[in-house]
Amino acid sequence: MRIPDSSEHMIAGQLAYSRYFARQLVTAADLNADQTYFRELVRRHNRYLHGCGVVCGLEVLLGEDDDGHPQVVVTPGQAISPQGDDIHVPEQQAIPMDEVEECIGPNQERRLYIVLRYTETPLCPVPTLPGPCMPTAGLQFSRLQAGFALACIVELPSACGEEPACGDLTCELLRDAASPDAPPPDTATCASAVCPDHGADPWVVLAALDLDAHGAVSAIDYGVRRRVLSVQFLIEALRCLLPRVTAIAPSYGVQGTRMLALVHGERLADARDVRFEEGVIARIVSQPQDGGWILIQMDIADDAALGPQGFQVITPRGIANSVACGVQFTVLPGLAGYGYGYGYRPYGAYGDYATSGIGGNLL
Amino acid sequence: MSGPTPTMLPVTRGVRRAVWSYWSRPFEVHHHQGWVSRKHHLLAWILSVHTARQHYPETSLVTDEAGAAMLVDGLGLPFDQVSTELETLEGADADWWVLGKLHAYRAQETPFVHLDTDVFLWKRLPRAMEMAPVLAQNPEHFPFVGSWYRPEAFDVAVQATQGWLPTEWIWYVSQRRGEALCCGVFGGNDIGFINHYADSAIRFIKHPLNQTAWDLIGFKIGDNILFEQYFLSACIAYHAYHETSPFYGVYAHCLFGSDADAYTPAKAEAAGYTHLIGGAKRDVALANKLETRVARDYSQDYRRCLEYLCRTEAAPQVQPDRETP
Repeated sequence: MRIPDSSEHMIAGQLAYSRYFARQLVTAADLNADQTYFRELVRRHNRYLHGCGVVCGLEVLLGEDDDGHPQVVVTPGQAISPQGDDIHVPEQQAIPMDEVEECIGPNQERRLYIVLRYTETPLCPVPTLPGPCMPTAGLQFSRLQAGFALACIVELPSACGEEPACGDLTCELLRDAASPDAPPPDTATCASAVCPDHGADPWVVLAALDLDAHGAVSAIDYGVRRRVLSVQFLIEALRCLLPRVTAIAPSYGVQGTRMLALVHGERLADARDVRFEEGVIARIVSQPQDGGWILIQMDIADDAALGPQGFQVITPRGIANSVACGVQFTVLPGLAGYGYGYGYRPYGAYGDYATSGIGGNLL
Repeated sequence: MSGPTPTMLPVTRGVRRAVWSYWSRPFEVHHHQGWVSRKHHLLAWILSVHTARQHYPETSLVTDEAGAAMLVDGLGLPFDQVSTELETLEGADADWWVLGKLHAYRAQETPFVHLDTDVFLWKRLPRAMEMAPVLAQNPEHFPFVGSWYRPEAFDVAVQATQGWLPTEWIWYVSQRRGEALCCGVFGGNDIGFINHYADSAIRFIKHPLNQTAWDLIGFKIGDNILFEQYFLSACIAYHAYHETSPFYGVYAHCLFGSDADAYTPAKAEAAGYTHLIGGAKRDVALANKLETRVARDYSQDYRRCLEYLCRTEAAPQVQPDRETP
């Protein structure tokens, strides 16, 4: 009986899936081909779109077992293997310190790596029917259970690759043209110039442990851990990094007037401009260092578009779009005669008595 | 056995005095544009003073030197008292035209009714008004948001620039109240309250911490009513509500119960009240009626007005109707 090795689950080359037809003799190979096809698609998706490393959890901690013996504890979590397999650790795991110390090689290295890999465990053996090539009945596993294995090793695995320098990433993101004579991108630093390697090394590094002379853990280093950020995490990160508008007060203004307004928000520090739609010109008057608000002076033209409109706050961190944040400024109709200098209600508000005033007929 | 005979004190309560105010600089800078001509502005003065003094024989003028020269020396209007207290406004921003009125309000020591130049009292004010702590023309109701008043804009401006706001204002605005009191006529018997209100309004405008806000707001001529009429309503509401206030229970009695009443000709006629409010001052037909009325009823004053204009500026811009003498 053959037990499949996880090394078989590397990202393959050309993929093919079964094509079924009437009166076809469907074999195990046909059915397995479909599974292989879709599993490989998921692996490629994981590896190329998300990467390799720890998605969440999988914290490496120090603890003790019930007898008070020291142990390394790994919390539940999720990771993606260098081959794109999902590795799910549903419960807290423990590695006795004795086993950790056994990892120390003959060179007495004092740095060990707690690593995680994807495994598949065959389950449910069932008898096979005799056939021309297998005259006697045998056993075959009818299930493979996805699992994981924790280990400590002394060599830092490199399956997830080196992290490129941030500067290289930025240039690569903004690269939109290149000279024909330019050398090809440095594949060592350009993350997307070549697809990531998915070599035979199956390990995902959770952390490095530094041991002292007595074999006790003196430090847990997460710097060696590669991370795969979930979309939710990225959204939260963006929310925490980008400028955001939360309110403007007053939220209205009248055509043909000048007014002050406070734009409230987050991370608005060093705002360079506040831009409204046509007919409303804003000038930044003051803003605190904490980026919590901006005081703007607004000139609303006589013919400024009526109704709600959005605005943008331009900051070094990015542009905060008020509409996206559910904040709008409303331009109200101009008041005929308003601001003419007499401090009275606009004539339009008096209806038919606009020109007769009060009791004008008595004159 | 009977006690000492109680002394009959003179009845001092009740409005018996009419007051006008005129700060010349705002008029010269921009208010003159509100009239058909300067002549009609002077004619309104004549009619306003002469109609009101029939009911309130004691008259006062609070003005500056230029105003006194025009109204007293030039037109010969018969004020019993003339104060040039508004000379103290020399150097003040003429955009704050309401400062002239507020200073006049604050200067009063006995019950009074202040009349705008464009207000003509054909009848005496109702007795209930004359006896009230505060009297005004009519309440004005407006939406707190998007009105010709814009308290929120000023509130934000002052707060954002770390300015100073009166307690009454803070309380009133926090409730988003949209009511003011139109002050074509204003006055009352509670001199202490009126003094407090006017003083607070002046302080509000002049407070050094608020100047940044005013500068940033820029054009504010149309917003003067916020400090006179809206803030007046705020003060009355605040002190009427707070039992610990020395002005607890203060209230205003208005000539008209609402905006709608004020602009209903029959009700204005019943009240015997004319206010050439807003654009009415630029209405040529009304201007001609004003001139006709003054020329007919106060011919000496009319002649004096024309002579004054001849001495001081170009000829009148609008010819009176044919029936005008």
